[in-house]
Amino acid sequence: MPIESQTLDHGRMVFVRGALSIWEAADTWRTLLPLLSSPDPLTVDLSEVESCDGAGLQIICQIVRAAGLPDAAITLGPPSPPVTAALVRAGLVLEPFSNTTQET
Amino acid sequence: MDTQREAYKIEANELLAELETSLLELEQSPDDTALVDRVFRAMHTIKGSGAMFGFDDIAAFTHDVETVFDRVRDGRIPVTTHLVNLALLARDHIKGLLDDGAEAQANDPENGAGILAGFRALLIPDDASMPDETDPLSNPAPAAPASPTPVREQMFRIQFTPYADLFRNGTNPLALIDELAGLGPCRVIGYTDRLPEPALFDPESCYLHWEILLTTGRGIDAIKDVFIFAEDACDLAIEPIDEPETEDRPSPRLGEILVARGDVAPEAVETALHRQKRLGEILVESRTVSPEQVGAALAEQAFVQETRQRREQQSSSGSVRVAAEKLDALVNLVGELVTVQARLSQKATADRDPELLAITEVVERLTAELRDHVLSVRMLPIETAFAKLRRLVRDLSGELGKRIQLHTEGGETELDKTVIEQLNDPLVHILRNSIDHGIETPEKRGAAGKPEQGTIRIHAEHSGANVLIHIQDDGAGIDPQQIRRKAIEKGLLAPEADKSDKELLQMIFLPGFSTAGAVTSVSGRGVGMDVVKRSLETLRGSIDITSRKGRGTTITLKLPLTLAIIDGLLVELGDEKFVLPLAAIESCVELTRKHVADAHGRNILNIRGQIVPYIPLRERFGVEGTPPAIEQVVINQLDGQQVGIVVDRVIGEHQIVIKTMNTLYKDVQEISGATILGDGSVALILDVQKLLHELDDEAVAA
Repeated sequence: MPIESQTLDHGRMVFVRGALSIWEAADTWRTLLPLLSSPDPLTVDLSEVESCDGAGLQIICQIVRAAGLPDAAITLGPPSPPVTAALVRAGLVLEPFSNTTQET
Repeated sequence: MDTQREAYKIEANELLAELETSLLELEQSPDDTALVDRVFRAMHTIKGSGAMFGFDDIAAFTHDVETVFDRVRDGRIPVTTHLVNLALLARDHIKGLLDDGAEAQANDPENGAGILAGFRALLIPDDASMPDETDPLSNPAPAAPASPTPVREQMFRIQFTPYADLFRNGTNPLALIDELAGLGPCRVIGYTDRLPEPALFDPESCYLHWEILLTTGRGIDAIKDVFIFAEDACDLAIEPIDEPETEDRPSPRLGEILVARGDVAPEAVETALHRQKRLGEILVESRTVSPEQVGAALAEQAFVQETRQRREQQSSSGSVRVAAEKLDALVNLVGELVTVQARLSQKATADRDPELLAITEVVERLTAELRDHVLSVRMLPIETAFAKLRRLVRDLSGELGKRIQLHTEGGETELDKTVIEQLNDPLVHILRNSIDHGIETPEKRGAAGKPEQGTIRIHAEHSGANVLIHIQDDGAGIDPQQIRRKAIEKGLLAPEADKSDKELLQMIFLPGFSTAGAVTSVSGRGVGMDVVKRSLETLRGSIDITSRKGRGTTITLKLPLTLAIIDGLLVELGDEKFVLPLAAIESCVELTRKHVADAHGRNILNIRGQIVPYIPLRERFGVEGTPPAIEQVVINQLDGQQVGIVVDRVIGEHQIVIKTMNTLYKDVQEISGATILGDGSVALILDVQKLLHELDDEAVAA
């Protein structure tokens, strides 16, 4: 199971684990969408993502975008090294993560 | 093309040396991402340039290795000793392919296949479940595209806008971007502006799009090749920007870039320029372009400027690669010049022509400067020799089940290129001996109360016109009594002979001598230390050994800084002229008959309260005739000891071009070479070190 959701006292906690790629994208998004739309506090933990492709990056972009909405109560934990590496490779600068565009 | 292939070989050999060093460091610091990046970059360059210059076997082999290190870079494969072992084997295989070309591959195709199988095994856990699109191995793109001729470096703007179904077609855009990055320095700008509201978002559709600014020498076709399997699933625009011939123009301005990109009409830029605000702000405010578009254009502007800066740095870089043969030829020419200059000086002195003498002095000064500069060009840091030893220590200690760390110091010490080249074999011999016979197994070390890991230290330092290299281990040391027993057994020493421990230790340099209990593949065949000694003597160097049983051994190599030209003091003995190397000379004093009488037959001299022994060269060389009433003693400082050399007359300082002696004279210990003087006569160069050793031996015998 690449995504696991737990209910805690202060809201929900979502752990994304293993691969975050086109193969898991539909299932992951199906689980995430209602949580991102909910007004309840949500913490998304990406620290155990082991690999990430373009589809995975889009989901992360959606989470970041939702977290940036005015009334959002969404917190993002630090991304795993593979997520950071994928963001850098894709030249995506997302506000919560201190990444820069790629220079090789 | 042959010249380019040769240039590739030189570059690849340097990269392989760097790769080896990086891998050995990585083994010690597996979490160091900078080292992983260095390994990856080295592999990447070897592969890319290999394909470009027709080394397809190297490119194909390196591609898979690089893929594994790409995963290491992503943190998906850990750095282990096994991985480092495989990578070192891969490095050796690439070196073999590079040195021998297709012949080696044909001779040993299984070796490469075996190494690649090892690397692929590391990838299996990831591949077991499903194909991973982020992985270049399962989504193989051709290795760096082979191009028959390199194309001039050029900058491109690539606008890559995938269609929604790109993912479903099995294409991972990140893999394509990675491949582009392999073509040269690039800046990737990802856009998320097409991502819909969450409710409308289809996670299997592609909404991201990219703009990539790439500088490459592979040409536009290489870029198109990257997208060959994705061209039906994306909009692709590749445009060259910043042609090299336009580089004398200022960097393109923002307005020019926006117009060139088709983002804004030239009229809109003109209108905007009439206002006083910054162009980007004006265009955004007027909603002509989005902030993202301005940001991308600014990024492009910065990339162009950076690339130009890089090119300027490269073109104005102060270093030039020169073939070693050309340097050797230059040194030979300087040698000839020095000899001719000596003739000129002699002629000017004989003719007593003030004008000619003045010119000669200038020529002499310029020649000396030229000589020093040319010789300094040939100097290399000794680290280049040390680097090869790290691998030797690692591999041999593993083979023998020992744990050994190697510390090197003074790697920046410089030596003549020829000396360094010829130093490699002696160093390897000495280190092999240390590893095989010196350092004990972890069990034995533990039992002896020593740390399980043995240590070998190599330390280089300057000492006058010489470089000293100390190789010290904390192993078992050498037992002088064991040497004595072996020497008697081999008939090299009479059973009743009285020898000090120091003398017994020197016996390991005798041909055929070995104290090793068993002959191993590493050492102990009785050939080694005598060969080492001979090699060092060929280099006009020397070797010394000290050892304490149970505590370790220190071997000290003494090498001249250069083999070609030295400053010397020309002296006369009867009708013969000799040269003493100037670097070791401290002073010259007179030796009168009274001094000799005062010493009561002993060859000693009181110099400012110091008793200094001297060698009467006339007597030593059996020169006939009567010495002058006042002789000259040239005082040399060697290994902290003063020794005088008595000659008839001191002529003066000379630049000496060293000529090696015929092998017929190899047993003449006191002479290290010869030189040709200005009048065409030959002067022998004295080896003061050897003379001093003989003095020591005679003192012991007395």
